[in-house]
Amino acid sequence: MADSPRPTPPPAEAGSAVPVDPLPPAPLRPAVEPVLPADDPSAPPTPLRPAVAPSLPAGARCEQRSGGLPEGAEAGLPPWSPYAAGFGLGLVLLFALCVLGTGLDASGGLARVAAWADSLLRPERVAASPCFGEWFRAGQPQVLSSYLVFMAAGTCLGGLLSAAASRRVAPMIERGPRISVAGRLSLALFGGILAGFASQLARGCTMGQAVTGTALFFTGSAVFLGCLFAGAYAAALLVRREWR
Amino acid sequence: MNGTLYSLELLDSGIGFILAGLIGVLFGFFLEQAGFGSSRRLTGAFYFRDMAVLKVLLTAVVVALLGVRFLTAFGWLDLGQVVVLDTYWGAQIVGGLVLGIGLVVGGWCPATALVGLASAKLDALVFLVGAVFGSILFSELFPLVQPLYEGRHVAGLHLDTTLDLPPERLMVLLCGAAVLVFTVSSWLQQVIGRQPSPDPSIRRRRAAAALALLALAWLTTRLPEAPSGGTHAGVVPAWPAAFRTAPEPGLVAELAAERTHIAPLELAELLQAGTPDLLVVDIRPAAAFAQFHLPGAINVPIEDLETQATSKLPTAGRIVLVANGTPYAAQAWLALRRQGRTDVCVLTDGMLGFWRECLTPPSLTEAPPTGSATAALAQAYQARRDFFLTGAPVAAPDGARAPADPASPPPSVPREDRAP
Repeated sequence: MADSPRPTPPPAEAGSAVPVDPLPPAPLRPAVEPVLPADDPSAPPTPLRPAVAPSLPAGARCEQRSGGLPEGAEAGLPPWSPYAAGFGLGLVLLFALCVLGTGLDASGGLARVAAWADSLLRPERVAASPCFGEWFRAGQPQVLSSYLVFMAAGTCLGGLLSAAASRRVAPMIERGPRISVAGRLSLALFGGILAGFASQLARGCTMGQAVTGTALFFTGSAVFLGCLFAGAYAAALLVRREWR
Repeated sequence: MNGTLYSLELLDSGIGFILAGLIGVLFGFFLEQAGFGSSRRLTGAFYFRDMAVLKVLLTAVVVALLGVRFLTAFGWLDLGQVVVLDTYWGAQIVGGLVLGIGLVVGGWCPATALVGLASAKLDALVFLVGAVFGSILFSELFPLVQPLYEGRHVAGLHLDTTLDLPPERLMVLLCGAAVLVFTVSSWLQQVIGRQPSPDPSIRRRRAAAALALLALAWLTTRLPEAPSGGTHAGVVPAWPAAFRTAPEPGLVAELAAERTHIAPLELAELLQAGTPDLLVVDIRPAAAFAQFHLPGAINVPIEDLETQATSKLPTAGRIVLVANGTPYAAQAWLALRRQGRTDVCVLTDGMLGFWRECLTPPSLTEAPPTGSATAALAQAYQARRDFFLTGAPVAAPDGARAPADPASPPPSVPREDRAP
């Protein structure tokens, strides 16, 4: 894999403990380090997947498991070339457009699961909502009986098949070397809330709105795709600590 | 091409579930093979360590873009049967920025988190829980964000219109831009991300692929028929129809089974038998209703139907919509259907049809009965006249004989249906 070469296993100190300095609860703390990513050539390259057993108590001092283990043994086979995988995704998208008449989407199914879970806890509130309530009107099919739910479930299943075939199913919490487990998980939760909200607002996520719509020449979707990368590159400066 | 499941309104049916699930499996497979079961790899692009996200997404866009163009040119895909994603400037700009932030902060986007979950990544599970909360938050805040969500809306806006470029040229430009982005991102990955440069053999292969891509893009300019605009014209259904409110399930099947209409004679029998849970809703103007209506009918003029449906119509039981003819009642049917009512049907040919079929003496119909059936039919006819015209302001003389001009309906009925 020329595009993402296996990083060499880090020398001695990478196997040592992760700094015990958990990120404060405030999720979007601006980085205090200089902004350019390549400013610290002396730092050893970090392994692609610093694995941490999920059973560890959050915030505990935890060792990276990579010590001594070759990276590949843990991560399974290397992923495909991004062009090959992108080509495959493009073909699946084309197939979906021809057969279903809609694109690929994950957020729609997720929203229905959210509405369903919410309706279990607060049925009256959800039924009265001008947004989720639409799915609970009399005469509507059950909220989960939507093709979007099946597509999301299929996505999960396809991921499992592929990951199992490539020996990449490995319980872990992925994070950079400078962030605690608790910090990473709270940021994952916060990022999830943002992503869930945004994909509802924009009527689709990365695949359902950005890629599908751009492939169909729709202006709004192309703008959405551009804004997605703009927002991501801007936010990347603020959470360098999470990943590097 | 008989149509897509979307155009046939069969997405939320058994076949739709199976196909969507299958396509989801393929989708998840390629996402995982792209390495997107790893949040570190996903976010690597934003630190120029591994530009996979950008390359994968852009490759998928270009492949689908060219594929759609060739398939439509060969007639294998009709864009009129494909979902239309409208432009909502505010929602899509803000949504894009926020989703981008969520992608880097959380390390996933919704689809990749599903794949990450399948790869047993605990942070993917936490992200998905967050995304569920985010969706609920959106529903809770909906009144607040509604102006942004629905504002600055342009239906079916295409890039070539926005940029004022011929679509053929835009296609070549987009493919050229993609090759440029691929090249620059690989370069950034080496310079800023300090990744080794790929093998010369791989670089040669990629250069060849880029040339092939540009050649294909050029070829689309030689294809017949405009790639967009023309083929999209007249497509009304928009994203909200497919995404926000569930499309009417099994609508086509229902139409085919003729459960959407009721014949005049059938309705007459049901009313005469005093069928419970059957409500005739007369959608003609109040004046016409006052002159003549079917026994037990209520009057909701069509202009009030949308607003008064919830207050005046019962929540259960079958509803029969009656106008003078069929078209207005069919429109009312659609309106009720969109409100979620399922057990609604239309009286075929309306009041005029009812008069012709039920209240015209059998001997005066187009095919008068002969033989032994005559007596039974005459008796049924008389029973109907007694039932429906008792108390009606029609000068119908009693007795075995039909009135002098029984074929002409009472003065209120023959008002022609206004053209819809």
